[in-house]
Amino acid sequence: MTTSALNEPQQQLDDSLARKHRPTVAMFDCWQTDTEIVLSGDFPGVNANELSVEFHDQVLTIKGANGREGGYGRLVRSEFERRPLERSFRVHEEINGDGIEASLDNAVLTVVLPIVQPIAPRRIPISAS
Amino acid sequence: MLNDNAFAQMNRLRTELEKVFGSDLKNYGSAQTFPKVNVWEDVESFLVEAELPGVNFEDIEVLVLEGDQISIKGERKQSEIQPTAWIRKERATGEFERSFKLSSAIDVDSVKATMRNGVLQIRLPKADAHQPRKIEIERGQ
Repeated sequence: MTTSALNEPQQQLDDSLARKHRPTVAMFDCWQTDTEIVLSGDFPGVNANELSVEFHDQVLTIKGANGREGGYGRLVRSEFERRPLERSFRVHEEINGDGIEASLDNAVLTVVLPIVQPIAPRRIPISAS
Repeated sequence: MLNDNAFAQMNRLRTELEKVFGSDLKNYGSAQTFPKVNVWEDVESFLVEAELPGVNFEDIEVLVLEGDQISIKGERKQSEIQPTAWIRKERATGEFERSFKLSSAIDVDSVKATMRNGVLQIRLPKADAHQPRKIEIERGQ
């Protein structure tokens, strides 16, 4: 017995509720060294030109569009959907905006935020007259 | 915080083969399953897609067993970072393995697997005997 006749109405209902267009949260690792904050997140199925990384007012926002593929026949098991991926982070260190770098390798996006280093105290020589 | 053996611990509950038919259509897997897998079927073949971001090509193994079972196993390696402090660690690392029993036998020699943008796609043509065959109707006397 095929179950497709029973499943199609359900898929139509899901589509109509537009669940598939709501963004999913991207999983991230974040860590800090003395000089930078680094964030590394999973973006499977996303091309580099579909990703946007913005830093504004201490908030880093990353969005990835995720083109819907499919049409491979009947979906028999579904554990992930091709939905847009998003994540925002509030950063608590002062960041040098010009030095932010982002790279995509093997579907992992890495963003490096250089921390503004405190200016070392300068000793002022005193001239004696 | 997740340790190096996170996947093995998470997937331990799934060591029995997972039947593709008979389970709920939308089984999103627990938040911890890795990799997440979709299975599509048409008349001639199955397509298995698995999300494997951050896993190197050479660290993945795809096996077809007993003619109708597919297994995806491998390892996502921890990158060598020496942080001063971890802020958040959500991406598990370690070895993973998932196996599925498909509803038809597969033509093992024609299976093709490709990897793009961190998504592994495996096309598994069904064995000839399992493809629908049209029967000609003879006109009776």
